Amino acid sequence: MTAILESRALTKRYKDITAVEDLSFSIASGEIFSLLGPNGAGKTTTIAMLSTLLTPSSGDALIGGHSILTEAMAVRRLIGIVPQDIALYPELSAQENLLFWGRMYDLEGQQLQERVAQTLARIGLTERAKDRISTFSGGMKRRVNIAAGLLHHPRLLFMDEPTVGIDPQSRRAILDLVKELNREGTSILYTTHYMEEAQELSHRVGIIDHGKLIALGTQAELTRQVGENSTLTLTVDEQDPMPALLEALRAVPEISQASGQANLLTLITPRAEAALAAVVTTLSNAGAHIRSVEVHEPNLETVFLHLTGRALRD
Amino acid sequence: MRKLLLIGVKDLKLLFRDRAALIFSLLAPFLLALGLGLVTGGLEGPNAGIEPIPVVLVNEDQGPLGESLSAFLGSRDLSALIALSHSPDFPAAQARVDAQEAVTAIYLPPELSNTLNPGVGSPAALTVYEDETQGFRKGLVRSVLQQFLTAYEARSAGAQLSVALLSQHNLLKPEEVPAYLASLPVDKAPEAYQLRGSDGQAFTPGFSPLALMAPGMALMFLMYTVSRGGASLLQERAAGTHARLAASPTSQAQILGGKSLGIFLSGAAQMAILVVATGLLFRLNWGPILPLALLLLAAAWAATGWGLLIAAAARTPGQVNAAGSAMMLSFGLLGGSLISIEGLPAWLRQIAKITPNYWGAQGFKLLAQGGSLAGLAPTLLALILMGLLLFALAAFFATRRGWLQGGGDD
Repeated sequence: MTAILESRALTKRYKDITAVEDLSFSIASGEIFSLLGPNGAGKTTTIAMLSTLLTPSSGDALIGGHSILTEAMAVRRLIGIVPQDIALYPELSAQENLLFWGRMYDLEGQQLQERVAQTLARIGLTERAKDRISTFSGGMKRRVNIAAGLLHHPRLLFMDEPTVGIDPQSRRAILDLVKELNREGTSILYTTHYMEEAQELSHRVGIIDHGKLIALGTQAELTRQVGENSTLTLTVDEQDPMPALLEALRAVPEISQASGQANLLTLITPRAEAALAAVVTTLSNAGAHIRSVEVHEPNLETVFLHLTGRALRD
Repeated sequence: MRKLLLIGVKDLKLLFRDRAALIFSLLAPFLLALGLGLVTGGLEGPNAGIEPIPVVLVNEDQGPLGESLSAFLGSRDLSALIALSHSPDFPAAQARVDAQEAVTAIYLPPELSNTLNPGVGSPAALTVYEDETQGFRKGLVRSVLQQFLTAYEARSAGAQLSVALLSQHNLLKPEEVPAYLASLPVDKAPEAYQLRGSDGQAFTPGFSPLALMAPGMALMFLMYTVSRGGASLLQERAAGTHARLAASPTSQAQILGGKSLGIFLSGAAQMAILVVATGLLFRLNWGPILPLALLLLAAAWAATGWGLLIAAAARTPGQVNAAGSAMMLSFGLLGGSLISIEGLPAWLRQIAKITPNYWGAQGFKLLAQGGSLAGLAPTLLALILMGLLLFALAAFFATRRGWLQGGGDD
């Protein structure tokens, strides 16, 4: 399958800070590729460079065979962008916003009107077409934000954390829309720090941390890196002494890695059943009050924890 | 060009959707002009501006001063401002003021003129009786009277000085003084006396002070509109819509050009609405349409340059708004939108020329007084050159910040 995007050692530096370093990956036509990483990992900077908004410090990327450095305008005609923040005009209606953004992609006349009507129907906002964006809920704004990136039927769609801060129902609708777009042939670069979204949507996943791509492959390929390890997730009281608990857990022979955030403990173990009894005993001895315990098969969270020693949300 | 227009029209639409901006851009200057209209009586009667103020003159002087004042107040130049009538005695004139048939009664006592001649004791007093409820109109009559007396006294003083000098050198005998004084122009009916504006321009019949005030307000609030437009450049960057635009097949030059066009269109629309609205409501004569339209566009162009410059130099929309408010007020004061600049020091009047307000006010005044397109040309040229210079400066700052490159870094 031909690559719609090929990133070659893409790097962005700001004085002493390297936001993205030597990023190389490709996206095949018709693929959903997720960049998974915690906040500040370099996901948005990567999208900004690929969409020609930021000039890379070094490296290049080809989109549809066009260089982001030397053929920016050709690249822009091929891509659509759904920014992390709502990039719409609040005092214009949903329809007026879409008409404006469609025109910016050189759509006009009957074709523009039809695309706007179709897109509004697709995101379920036909009835609210003439209402101003400022009157919409967060989820509805997110949907219009996505719609503005779809009007011109881009070959490659960049979606930068499109589900941040919305209700579960709107999130579900957006994930279904992403899958539907992909079925219609749109290639998608999707950034997220939600492991579940990357798992559900992606054909392949790139894990990014501190600006570096630390793992790349299908979900199965990535989870194989951590062998047969399972993840134990325990919730304890908020008053429990987290550093002391982690120190005690790291001494348990069945636990290969342990991390904690707020009152949530995430542990990696090759033998979940055997480890569980030891973990409960250790925590009880350390004075913890266990509220819940979950056992997960190996997943991308496990991979990230395995590779970085931290949970995705740390 | 199409995208440039689309962005500009979008910004114009946003201005008309922004309630706060509408209040400041249109309602505030309109209300201020309306208030001035009420104060000056500009809303009364079928004519634009001020209804002639009824004044009663009781002239018992029968000398040159009385004749001059009577001719002056009844002159054609003042006919749009003062409706002069005469009364044989002061009590009757006062009764007319009390009955609000007249705003001011003026009493010239017998021998008033003679008391101004050299060697004739202290001068007699001229008495004025006013309707206290007619604040502005009463004050206007008083200022007209004061101007007349100042001019008359200056001439009298000159006459007295010349008599003294001629007598000292034995060139004029005491018995020849009355004949000599009678030959001086001070005794003549004062065709030369005119009511003039503080700029020295004679008011034409039917001219309304609103024709000066309304453009002043419009020009001052034009600076608000352009600074708001300038702030929107940075607001779009903060809100992410600029990045979205920049990721579309739209060049940075088109985006910046479109934003500039939006500011210009907003300013021009604001001015046009105010001109039409005040013209219809106050029946102001703004002058011939073509030069007026060119002046509006030129003023909006120069003001846009200022809006762009502060946006290109500022870091945040808040900075632009703060600078814009300061600019609106300082340019309003300096450029003559709020006060007459004639009283300002000469060097400050020179600095005033950097403001669109100054040139705009000059142009509006010229057109209201019947000026032509040819007469307006220097004003238009000044505004256009100002705009060009400011655009160049704004482009310099914008280039330094990477706003005109494909992948800006801020």
